[in-house]
Amino acid sequence: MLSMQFGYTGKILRVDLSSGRCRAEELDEKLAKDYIGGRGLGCRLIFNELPQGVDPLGERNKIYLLTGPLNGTQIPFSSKYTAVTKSPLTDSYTRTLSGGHFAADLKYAGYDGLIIEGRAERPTYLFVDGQNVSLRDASHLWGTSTSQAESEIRHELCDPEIRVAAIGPAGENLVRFAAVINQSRAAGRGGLGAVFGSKKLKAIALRGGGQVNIAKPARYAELLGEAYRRVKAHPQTPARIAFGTPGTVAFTHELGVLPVKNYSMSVFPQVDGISGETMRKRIVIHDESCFSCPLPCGKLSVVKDGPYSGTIVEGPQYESIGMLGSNCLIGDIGAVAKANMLCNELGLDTISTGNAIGFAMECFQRGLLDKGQIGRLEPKFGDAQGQFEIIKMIAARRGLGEILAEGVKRAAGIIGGGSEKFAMHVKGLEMASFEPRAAVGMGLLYATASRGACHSMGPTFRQEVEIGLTSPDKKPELVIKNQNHYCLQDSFVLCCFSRYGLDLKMCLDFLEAVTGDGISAAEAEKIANRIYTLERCFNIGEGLFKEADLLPERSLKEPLPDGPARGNTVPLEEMLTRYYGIRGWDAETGIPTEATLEALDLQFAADRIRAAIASARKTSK
Amino acid sequence: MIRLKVDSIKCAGCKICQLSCSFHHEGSVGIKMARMRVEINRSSALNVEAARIDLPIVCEQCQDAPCAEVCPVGAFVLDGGLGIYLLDEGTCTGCGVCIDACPHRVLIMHPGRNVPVKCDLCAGEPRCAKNCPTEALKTTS
Repeated sequence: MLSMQFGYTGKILRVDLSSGRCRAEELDEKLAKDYIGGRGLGCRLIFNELPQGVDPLGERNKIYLLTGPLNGTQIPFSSKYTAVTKSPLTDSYTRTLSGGHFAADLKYAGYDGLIIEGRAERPTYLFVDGQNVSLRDASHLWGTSTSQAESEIRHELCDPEIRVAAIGPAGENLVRFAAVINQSRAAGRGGLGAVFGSKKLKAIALRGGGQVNIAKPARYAELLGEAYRRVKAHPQTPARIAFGTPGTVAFTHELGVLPVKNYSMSVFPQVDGISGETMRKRIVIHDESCFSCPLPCGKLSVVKDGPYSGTIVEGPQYESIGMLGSNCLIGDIGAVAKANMLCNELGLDTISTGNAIGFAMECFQRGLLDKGQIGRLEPKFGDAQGQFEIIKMIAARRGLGEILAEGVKRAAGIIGGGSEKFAMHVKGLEMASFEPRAAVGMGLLYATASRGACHSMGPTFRQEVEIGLTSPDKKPELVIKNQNHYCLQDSFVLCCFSRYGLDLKMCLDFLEAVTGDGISAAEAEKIANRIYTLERCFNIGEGLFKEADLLPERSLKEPLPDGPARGNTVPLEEMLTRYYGIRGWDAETGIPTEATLEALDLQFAADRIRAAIASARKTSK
Repeated sequence: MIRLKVDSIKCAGCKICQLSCSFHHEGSVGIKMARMRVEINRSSALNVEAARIDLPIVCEQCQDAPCAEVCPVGAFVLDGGLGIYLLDEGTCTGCGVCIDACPHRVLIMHPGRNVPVKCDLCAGEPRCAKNCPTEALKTTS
């Protein structure tokens, strides 16, 4: 276990909420070598440990909250942790990330990760204070907002520097897209918050006093200097610091990529009201960084006047602006900030929330919602106050909120009337703020991402601007390249903005300096393919085949009515066939071939794949 | 004379300064052994002025140096070149009265060596300021 002294802590803490037993286990060195850490390790562990077909909100689901070998160091962009679990939205694999200071403090507390299983009898929070691990009563915290839970836990543990990741009422009420929030940073997508809630786990609190050991300190210091120089010299760095991710709003809108009115169009005349420039001018008071990050893209916003006065939130970020703003025809950054604050406090994913409300607004406009479903509510596009009300109703599972809390896939099943055609999701996960008809690579990404319609598993948008947004040419290659890069990034674990200075070579150089054990670019590529294909195998074991790699009918058949991509749809089928071919998956079925499994050292998955195919055949007969 | 200058309104709370300090002095990748700290007051941002949301707290190198003043064994020695007090660890008994005397609560006890650690301006090239990405910490002369 010698190399485990460097980079990794070498320990994983397994917490069984049912029995109350907490024990530190050795990190399996072979797994760390084959899967790096974070997402890679998580996908291997969940494949190994989770029986097929478990209820995501049942006692048998597990949470793998993991860091990687680079977290806790001074390496730029190394603030993120990854959580892997079975998603209550997609009933299959999901991974979610969050920044802030949580990952570093988990390492400093002495652990590479936490495995949380079982279900507590009453509301509980986990306190990890180095080797002292305790499960504490959280009955008095049940019902509190995420920031209240954080401050009360700090208060009762008498330490203002305790890190807390908590759910709000939405997670407690098992809203399928509930988030876990750590100091206003969200592990948002896929419903991790609902899994916490189902386990009666209100929060995880950490005290990290330790350190990370570096195998080659001189090399590490040299690389750090180079990394800082590169981040500073990157041409987009000044704009990213000035405007954060919202700096992209005007640009995506100009290209028809910003979703408008539940993805029914792409021109939004009020876009200036939600642009990064407007946001900076009107509400941003302070720049914020995650731990060890030299690129402070976080924006602390305070709305000082007007109807949304008193709003304070870190953000909103690009994705939240698209989904809670233009997608609901709301063109006031103050209103978006308020909606974002509500989502954070109640513990909701802003992307799925904005998407679900846009969907409800369209259902209302089409007369598909009956009185029993909406009561006196009139969910109209552009109505910010109405949107706030629906956000609260979702978190409380009240009225229309009860339906929307299920996510748009299930909501469309309840509402009916053909609403599934414009329920904008893949596999049950709501689409993010990129209109796929205006950037068709993003469409292929949504269709094939392991966790559903996710933008953050290898976004292609920026490169598509160079090679043609609406052309399917070279898109399968590009999607795979980016998906693979994200597999590695999520396993190190680094932020996606590591692109502002760190290329793969530098990441691998850092890996070697930190752990003392390097891998070549070719090995890294193989690890990335291994991770992606294993996630696929997990999903196949849960009954997801090619039919699940599907976009909503709106994206496939309804030509975009306006903007630069006017008239376009996503030519998914032709891209998909090529995509499967390059991945080494069967072109007809999307199932990894036995040769591919062998090449990636995934023979252990072959039995499950064969069984899944056999059972699918039986069902179709 | 070299000194550290703090412009807290620019601080984004990344703690690169603490990481740099720990690494330079202790070879440790962590933040608890740093000779300065950043306080993060984000959750109460509405009630504090913007300049205190992320607040770096550094050794002010006090002229009247309460740490040196209260030391019972005279372990703090004035460095002529830098014009600051440095701790002579050989003389120090680890009693810790200097830690209580520090008006900025920036002196800390080293967890391994049982002596206080004090900012020495990295012998004239403070790593915290060198690596600060937002210029919230600067070196002035």
